[in-house]
Amino acid sequence: MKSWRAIFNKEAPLSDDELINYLKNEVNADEMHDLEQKIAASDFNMDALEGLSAFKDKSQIANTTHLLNQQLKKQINKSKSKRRKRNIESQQWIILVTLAILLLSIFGYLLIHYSR
Amino acid sequence: MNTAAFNHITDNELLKKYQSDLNKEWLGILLQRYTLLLLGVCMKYLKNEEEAKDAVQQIFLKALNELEKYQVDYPKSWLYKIACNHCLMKIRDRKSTIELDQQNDQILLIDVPDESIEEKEMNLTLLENALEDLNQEQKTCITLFYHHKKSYQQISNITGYTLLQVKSNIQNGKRNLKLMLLKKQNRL
Repeated sequence: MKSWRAIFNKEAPLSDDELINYLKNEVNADEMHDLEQKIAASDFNMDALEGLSAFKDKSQIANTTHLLNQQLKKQINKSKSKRRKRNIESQQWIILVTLAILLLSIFGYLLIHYSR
Repeated sequence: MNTAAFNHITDNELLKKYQSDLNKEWLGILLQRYTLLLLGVCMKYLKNEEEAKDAVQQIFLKALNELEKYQVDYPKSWLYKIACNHCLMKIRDRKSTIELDQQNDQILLIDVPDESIEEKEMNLTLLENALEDLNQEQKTCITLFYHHKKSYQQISNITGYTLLQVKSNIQNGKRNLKLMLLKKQNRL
């Protein structure tokens, strides 16, 4: 009876290396079932395995993943620098408006003071 | 950031960190955990390596944009859903001859949350009854895989099904079991 519980076991983490080794058939027979059980724990894993199996050159999958991660990092850095630029621009406006108000106040004070 | 250094942090903790300081690098670490799986899912549906790579990049952009605005409780399931829906849109756009009905069925069914069964104490009698209601192929594959601990290849050798049929019988059988159990549990 115990083994049936495994059907809905909480998902154990599946690493990229485990999945890639499985795809390259570099898993020994003892570990095979445990790894397949990890994969079968989620539809996401199962669909991914099916798709990854369709890649012509399995040795390129890790490299492709690495490149996609690099592009993601670039995208995040780009949006961070955009945000920083936007922040600097809005800060510049605040400084300009504060200076203008300050100058107007001084000018108003001087005008009232000397017109007496 | 070196992502391996954050392996001990859960997906939800990464989301919380992002919400507290709005640093998108937290989202980057989270998304990189699923790059390989996303690539595989996109390849499964789009059946083209270049299109699959482009799709992953577009899914990243969408995820970065939406995680800024919405609260997500199960990031992994959410990303899977985003990926499936994105691929479905792509397939619709190119009006491919791929059997859309079959793919639609799969995509609609993924809405069953993985956690819902685990959260309730599983009634093994209910499970065994539900197993009897599965079709013969699914029942055989599920029994050999979970009860007899056979690998996909061994099941394929025993039953004569192809590896793809074995995987799909296990995946669909499991999904049907979940639906049946949820239905039965709700009736109790």
